[in-house]
Amino acid sequence: MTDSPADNLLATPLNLDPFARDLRRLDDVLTRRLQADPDNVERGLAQLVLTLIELLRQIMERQALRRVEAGNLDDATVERLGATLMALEARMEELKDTFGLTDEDLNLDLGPLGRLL
Amino acid sequence: MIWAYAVCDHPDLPLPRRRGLAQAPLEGIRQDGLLAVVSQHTHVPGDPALDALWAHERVVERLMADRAVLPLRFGTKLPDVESVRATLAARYDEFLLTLEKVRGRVELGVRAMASPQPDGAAAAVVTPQPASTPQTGRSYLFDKLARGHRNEHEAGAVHDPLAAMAVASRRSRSQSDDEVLRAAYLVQRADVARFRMLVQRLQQQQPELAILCTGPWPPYSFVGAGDEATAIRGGAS
Repeated sequence: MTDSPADNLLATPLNLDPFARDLRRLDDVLTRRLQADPDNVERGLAQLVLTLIELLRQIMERQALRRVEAGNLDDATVERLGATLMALEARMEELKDTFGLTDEDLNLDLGPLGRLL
Repeated sequence: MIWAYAVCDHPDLPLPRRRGLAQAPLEGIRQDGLLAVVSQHTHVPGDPALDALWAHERVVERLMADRAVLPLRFGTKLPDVESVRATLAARYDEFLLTLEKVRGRVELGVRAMASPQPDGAAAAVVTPQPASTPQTGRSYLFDKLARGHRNEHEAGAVHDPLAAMAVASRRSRSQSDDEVLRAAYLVQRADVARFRMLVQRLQQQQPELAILCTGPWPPYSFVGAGDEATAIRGGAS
């Protein structure tokens, strides 16, 4: 047995690019702590707040999709739900832009429970 | 302070000479028919840097080479020898049972991502058109539903045949829109080559996916307390 992590690759796709961002994520997990230094405090706070909002948004969206799939909502309600969620998603994108945050930033590793989003 | 790597049986089997974290020698702490493999430290050695993760992992893998192991999560620390014995004693039957479940078996990880086509041939069919962003609330929701169903269908086409070859499998919720499948399979050691060939065949059948298979790993996803957590987030969202 050698000690190269590559030994644990059993089958790889021709295109490994989709997996490359995991390396960045791993790097983040290993090196990053909550950014609480004075210069960064605003961004750190925004990151935390937006993470919670994004969690709620995704929960609402999943719930909405379940209800739509169950099929007992009338057309007007479906339209209203969809329009609300669509607007929320768009607003979320703007906020992420404003604070220079990516989807990756809005996720917390909860250890054994997995990742938040 | 005691850093724990794994729980094994056959406590008389000599430990490998491999070193643990911070080059500390491996020691066994015995409780009847069980053995906890640990190293002792005055300072916490496990800053979660990549080389520390691999040091822990390689100890567990080396143990796995000649015995059944219950791998412990990186960062498992206990204050002293007595508390290690107490843990082994308290969960004795459970540990023995789980050891039987994983004996001769290894964990393989599989992830499938929606992949941009390398040759661009079929790309037009599968890539969602950014131009057709949903205009109405209704189409927004139904697009999301359709995408969910499509992903679930693609995931099943990979997961079902693999799960059929495995002794057990665990699916985790995907962590991004383009992640189609994230799963762990408990496979007989003798079946690893067959499993790998099956992955390659599935990859050929589904060029629109990028399928990554890693392992053999210690059976992290199939032992102990992690089970409940995995079960909760298992399956489709």
